[in-house]
Amino acid sequence: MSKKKIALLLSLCMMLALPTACSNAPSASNGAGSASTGNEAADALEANPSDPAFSAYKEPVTIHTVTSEYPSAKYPQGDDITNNVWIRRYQEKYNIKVVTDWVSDEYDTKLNLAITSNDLPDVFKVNASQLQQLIEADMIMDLTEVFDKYASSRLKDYMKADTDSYESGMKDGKLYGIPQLHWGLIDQSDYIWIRNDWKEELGLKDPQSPEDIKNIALAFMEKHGGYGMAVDQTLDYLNVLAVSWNAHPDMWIKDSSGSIVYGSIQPEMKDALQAWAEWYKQGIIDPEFAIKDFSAMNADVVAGKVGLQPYYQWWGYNPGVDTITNLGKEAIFYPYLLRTANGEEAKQSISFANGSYIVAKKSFKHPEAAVKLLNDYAYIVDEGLEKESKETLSGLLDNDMAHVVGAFRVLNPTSDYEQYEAVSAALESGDSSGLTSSGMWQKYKNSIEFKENATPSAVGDYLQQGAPKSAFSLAKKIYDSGNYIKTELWGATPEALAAYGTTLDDILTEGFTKIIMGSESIDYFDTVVQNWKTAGGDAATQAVNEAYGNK
Amino acid sequence: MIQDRSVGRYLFVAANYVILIATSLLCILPFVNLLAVSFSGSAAVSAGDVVFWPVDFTTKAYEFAMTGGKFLTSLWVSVQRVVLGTIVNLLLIVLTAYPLSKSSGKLAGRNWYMTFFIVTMLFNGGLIPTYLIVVKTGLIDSIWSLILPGALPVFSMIILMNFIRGLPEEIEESAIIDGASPMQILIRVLLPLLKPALATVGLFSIVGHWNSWFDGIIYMKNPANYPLQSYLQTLLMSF
Amino acid sequence: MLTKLKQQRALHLMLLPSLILVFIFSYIPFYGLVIAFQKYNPGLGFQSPWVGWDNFNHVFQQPNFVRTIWNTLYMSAFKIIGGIVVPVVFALLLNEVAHGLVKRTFQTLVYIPNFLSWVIMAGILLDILSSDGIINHFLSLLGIPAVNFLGNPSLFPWTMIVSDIWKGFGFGTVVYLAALSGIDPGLYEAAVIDGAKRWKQTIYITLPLLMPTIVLMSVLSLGNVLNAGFDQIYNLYSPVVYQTGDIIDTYVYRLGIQQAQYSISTAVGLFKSVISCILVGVSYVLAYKVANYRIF
Repeated sequence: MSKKKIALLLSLCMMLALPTACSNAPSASNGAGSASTGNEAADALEANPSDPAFSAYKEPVTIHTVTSEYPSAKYPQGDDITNNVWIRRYQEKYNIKVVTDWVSDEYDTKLNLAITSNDLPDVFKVNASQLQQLIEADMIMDLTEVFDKYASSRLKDYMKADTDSYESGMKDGKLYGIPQLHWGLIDQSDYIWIRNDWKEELGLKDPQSPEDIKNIALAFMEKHGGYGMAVDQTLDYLNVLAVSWNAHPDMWIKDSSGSIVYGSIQPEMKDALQAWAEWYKQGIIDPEFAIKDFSAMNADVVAGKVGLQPYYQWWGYNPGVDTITNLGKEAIFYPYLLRTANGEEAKQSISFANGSYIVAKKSFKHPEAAVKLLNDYAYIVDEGLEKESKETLSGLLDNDMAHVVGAFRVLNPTSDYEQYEAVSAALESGDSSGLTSSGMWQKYKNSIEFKENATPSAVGDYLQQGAPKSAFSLAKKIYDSGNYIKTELWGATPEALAAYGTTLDDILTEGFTKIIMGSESIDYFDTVVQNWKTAGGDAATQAVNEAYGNK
Repeated sequence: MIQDRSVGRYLFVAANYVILIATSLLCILPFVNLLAVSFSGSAAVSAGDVVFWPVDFTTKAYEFAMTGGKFLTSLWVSVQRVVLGTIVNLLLIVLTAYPLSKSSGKLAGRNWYMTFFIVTMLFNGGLIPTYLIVVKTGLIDSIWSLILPGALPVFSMIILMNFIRGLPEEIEESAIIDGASPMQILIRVLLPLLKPALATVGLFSIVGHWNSWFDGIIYMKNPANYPLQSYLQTLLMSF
Repeated sequence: MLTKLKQQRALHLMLLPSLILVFIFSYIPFYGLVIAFQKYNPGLGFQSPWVGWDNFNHVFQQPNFVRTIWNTLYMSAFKIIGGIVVPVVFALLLNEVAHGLVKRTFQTLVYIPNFLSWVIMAGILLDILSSDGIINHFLSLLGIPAVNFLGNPSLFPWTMIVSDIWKGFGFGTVVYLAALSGIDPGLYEAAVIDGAKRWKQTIYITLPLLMPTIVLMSVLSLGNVLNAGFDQIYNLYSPVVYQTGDIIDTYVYRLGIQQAQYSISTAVGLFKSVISCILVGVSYVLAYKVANYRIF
């Protein structure tokens, strides 16, 4: 969240004294008036029953849906989230009319209210707990057969690529929620990012162990003053490093006896904390990390005060763009894989990545219409570059139009992996014919743009894919070699755990922070773990084992 | 007031002004910082370089907010809401505070009425049933959904009621002897005397309606009908 | 007698619109409080399964919940006291300014922070209170070592108390100034004739006349004693100060963050309402019995 934009918006909103000469803006435009519920009693027959996945309807079919804004989307004049190039495509190509009942940015709250007042749209997206509640209340439809009959082979392949997510949308073997999936597990790797000009100036080698990271930090501090490493109060960024000690905080993992345990309370975590407490004492870890939020942490990176940051693959987008703008292209940070004390590449942590599910109201007559739209999205994204005109494709995908479709898409869970393969091959050979999706094109173009002109806005794509030391080049190695541990909690969080919200983790964060800052010794770790267990950790562990234990 | 010209008085007045000016400065500096940030380049802001004066002056942020005309639309919704809402608030505040300023001898059941209103300050049914009522009454997606559920601000009403009770009783009694009805007394006699108090509670209503954003997001089906704060909130959340 | 009845009828009629609106929008929704005793599922609505006191137990059995009650009371007590003293003093000082326009200008300036949400205010406070922020810069000029206002558990509550009073005192000032403007100038003239100095006038005339408003505002703010300011604390606290800074509302928020836990938040809300109700009731009776103030 950019503080600058907040500031401007708020100062704008304070301008009570603005001359109210804006009388040309009628208030209650009846745009979203209550459209009559489409009651197409007459069966709308399909034009071509032999191709159920893509055939159009003879008679128009209406789907009522709901959605939230996608504010960074730039619509052509007159369009908005309820009426845009996708909505027109559905109508023209399939004779499906998509009507948006409401648009809200408190989507979950508003949807819960709509559920309560029994005012459900036909097709919409829900989170994992809403999915369970709707199944329990018998308000949504079993989509097993519809999906089986109408989903394109491509869409089914998506599900095969991440069967765990697919099964998380099922209950008693029936598919109630189609998972919207994600861009790929390759996105999840952890890195240490190091400022390159500082590293080269001091002639430092790539880190081969946590000890090396410490020494790089000390060398930076000696030369440039200040502290060594930027992290934040949530410990999320410090925890990025934990894999170097074989610890997997915030993840449910199997222990040697085969039962599921919480990674944050294992002895490996104690080792990591002990090292971090030492680092804090030496002034390596930001002395003020305990009160720094995400943007305060990044502010010091952008200001050039620090040269090390544990971070994810998207460093280049934020804080990278601001860092390059502010300090110039020499101040670029590069990612390095985390290694254990004996120099091996650390086993990475992979968590459950599916966030939402597509569901249909029980009384809806044409659930297959929604599946057709999902097929269409997958077709456009994966095959559009070959089969559709450049203009059509650009209209559908560019300017963030790819993200305004709300419930009507499932992402390709291998897309980032394939994208990286194609982009890196094209950059190496200079032959761009292998770029088959518009996303590939963008990453390719920006990578070249940054290499040639050091344009700050392109540094995100460059560091993710195009750079000689790119984040995905490292992640691909991990992914290909299977050097990672997946969370055992692959699906909806058991209720007994969800009922604690973040309060169980808070106990750990609070205690660990004290240990790192030295106000408690490392032995306090066992006390913290005990507190966690009595506060509900034991009960939660049991619930997780009951739900996921025998898989 | 009678003029006091002693040295002590002059010292007091000088010290008083110093305190008042210092305190006021303390209160407006955040706003100055906000303005400076809004006119500064984003890299300078991210690096924490901006204090009270813009760095890398730019109006990009304002251009961004103005694009698409949504800003003006929601500003207009907000203006409507503030005007209508404040009028409704003031009307009900006055109509409620005046009878309740009477003792229970002059208004049977006065204490029951009072309890009836105070309970709503302490208890509320919560988001869900309130939403259902707004749906049932058909107010959903109209500007009245932002105004009627909070039509009587009880806090302000009590302030005004106390103010009325502080007025000398003779004023009203002479009007009663002249045969004026309660409504006439309220309009002709009391309202002119209540101006400062009405200005106070009116200010609270204006600010309250101007600042609230959650109800807009919940009750409006289409972002085109969002008041400004709801619109700004959606922008905020997306960064 | 007949006119008296007529008079009364007019008064009752005046109340009617408020009674109806408040009944519809505040009283009817009270039935929603039942979800405090249910395991609420939006799909089942108010027919969700009954769970008795489970929701209350779930919250009250959390080992860290007790400290949040204490933290809440601690901070809100001082916020309430400061939130009365500061605006009263400021209003009295402002009342000494003879020039009407100047008075109104000051009044408006100190009201400005009320326009800024805590999200924004927190961003600004994080800046100015950091180790290289303005305040610590100023302290270092005086030779005082840097103070960790937001990260030191013993200082954090006071940072919250002071910044809350700072942000909010313009509101109270407006109320007290309105009350001051209602004081009959004749009283002061009489006092001057009796030879009372300004200080004495303030003690013996202004303050007693302001007392009913002060008591009223205090009793009303007692209704908020279990709300120590969610927006403020949520935007400024961090795990390192949970010990002293975590309040009921922030705790319940974190408890319910994964599922929209309407039942839990309704249960806690109900608990808070009952406590506030008792406090307001007791203070009402006390004010009436001890000082003979009829507040409401």
